[in-house]
Order: sequence, then structure tokens, then C-alpha cells
Amino acid sequence: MNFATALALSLPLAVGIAAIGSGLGIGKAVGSAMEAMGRQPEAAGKIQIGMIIGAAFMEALTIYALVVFFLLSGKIS
Amino acid sequence: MLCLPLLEAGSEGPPELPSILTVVVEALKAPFERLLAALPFKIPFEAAEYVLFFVIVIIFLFVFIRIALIGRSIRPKSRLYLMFEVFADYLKDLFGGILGPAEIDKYLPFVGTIFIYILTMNLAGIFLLMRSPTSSFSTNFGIAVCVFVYVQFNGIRRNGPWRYFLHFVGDPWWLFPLSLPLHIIGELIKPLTLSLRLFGNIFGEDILVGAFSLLVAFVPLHTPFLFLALLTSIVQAGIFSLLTAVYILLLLPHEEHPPALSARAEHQSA
Repeated sequence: MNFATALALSLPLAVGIAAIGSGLGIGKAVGSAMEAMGRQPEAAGKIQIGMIIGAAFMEALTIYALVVFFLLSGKIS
Repeated sequence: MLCLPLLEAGSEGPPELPSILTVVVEALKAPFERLLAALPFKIPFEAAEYVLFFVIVIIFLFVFIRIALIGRSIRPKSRLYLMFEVFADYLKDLFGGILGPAEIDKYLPFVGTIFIYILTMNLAGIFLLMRSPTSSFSTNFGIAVCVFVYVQFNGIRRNGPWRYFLHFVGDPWWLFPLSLPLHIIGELIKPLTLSLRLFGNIFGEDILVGAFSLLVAFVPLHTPFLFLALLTSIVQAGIFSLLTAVYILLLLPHEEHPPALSARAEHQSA
């Protein structure tokens, strides 16, 4: 297996695995936010802001994987 | 769609919709081919379009806000001015929730400017034939370095140099060979993560829109992704500025117990 084949196999796999992690994390965070909003609907605005901030952090980790993909995708031939 | 031949033309990298500069350069390239080849240096048209839109956004914001400021008075009647006032109040509430009402007046100009600036730059990329300057890493890194320098300088100014250094040492001072490098690296990585997060989101949206508009000719298949780009542009601008406010807050001098908790403890014991 040469270098280009290894890269072409592993780069999309890396992005996919990063997506699994962030899917789990964001799902848990948004689930707790929904629950909290159901318990106290008056605080829904603040909870929503916190949820969006948390989701953006977790999204950023997946995007780091995507950035690595773009950086290395030029080396596949 | 006239974008299709131009998308193929710039197809060494990932697919992106062309901007006005690319269109103009491709259209006018033919007569100047020999002149451009004869020059001793290479004109960086790809980098120039980010700088061009950077300047366009600055000029647009300046002109727009100046026009709105004409209606400024004690009892303003101009609706444009009132819109900006509502916007500024909203930003003051948003960042006031993080920085606290005592500190917000000092830091709102910086943090609010970063928010408006990055928001406009992100939204510029959604329009036809325009490109967001934030879709290049250099722009974001420049803004993040400004934030980093401001936050550290503010920390030194508010805390004094010795207490600022004590921030990096942490609570059990005898752990300082461990906590000092960790904290320093943690501070240094903040501009990197700020800029990478913004770059990845906005550049990724550009690529997504570009790749989907390549799929079928003359059918705007990329429309749902334009809505997604709208959402992530606004959210990422908010995240960048909220994180700036949080980093400023982390380096401010704080007392041992937050005043709300101690007031409640006194109330319960009384």
C-alpha cells in the first residue's frame, strides 16, 4: 500500500469518525437543553444561547478534522 | 450557469463559486497574457480577492453606519438610527450577561466591533459573486492575534504583572513546573482555535455550496445550503465574540467568592 492509497483510505474515514463523536456529543447536549427547557419554559432563551455555544464548540472539533482533510487532500497524487 | 466554466477553470483546489475578481481576471486575461508572463513577479490574484473584499466590507460598514448616524439626536426619529440603537442594546445585554454590568462599558466597543465586523464578513460570502474574507485562514488569524494581544495586555494592565503571572501558576504553587507550561500553552492555543473554528466553518460552507452548485447545471441545488450558510455565519460570529468576552473575563481580577453566593449565604444564616 503506497502513501497515496493510505491517505485516500484514511482521510474520509477520519472525517467520518470525527462526525460520530460530535454527533454523540451534540445529541447529548441538545437533549439536556430540551429537557431543561421543558422543565422551565421561562428560561428557554438563556438555555438556547448556552446550547448554541456548546454546539458550536463541539462542531469545531469536527471541523478541525475537516481542515486536516483539506490540508492533506492535495497530497493524494 | 456562467459559473460552470469558471468553476472548472480554478479546479486545482476544492470547488468554490467564483467571485467578481475571478470573473474579471478570467475574462480579461487573454489580451494581457504576455504582459503578465513577462513580469518578474507573479500577481497573487487568489489572495487579492480576500483583501479586496476585506476592504469592501470595511468601506461598506463605514458608509452605512455614517449614514445611520446622521439621525442621531436626543429624540431620534430616523428608523435606521433606531435600528442600530436596538442592535447595540442587544449586544450590550448579550455581552453584559458574560462580563457583568460593571465591566461591560469598558469592553463593549472592542467585543461589539469584532461581532459586527465578523458578522458582515461572513454574510458577504453568501451573495452572488462575492467571497467572505473570513474564508481564508490569514484573515481569521489576524483577528485572533488582535484578540490575543488585547486580552493579555488587558490582563497585565488590570492585574499587575505579578498577579498576572500568578494566574499561570495556579492554586498549589508547588505544582508550577506542571501547571505553568500547561497554562501557557492553553493561552497560546486560544487564537489558533478561534481562527481555525471560524475558518473551518466558513470555508466549509463555501466548499459545500460550490460542490452542490456543480452537480446539476441551471438548477440551484445549493439553495438549502445557502440557508445553512446564513445560520452558521451568524452563529460563528457570535461564538467568536462571546469567546473573546469569556477570555477577557477569565483574566480579570476576581474575588474568592462570587458576590451573589455570599449574599445568599448571609441571608440564609441571618
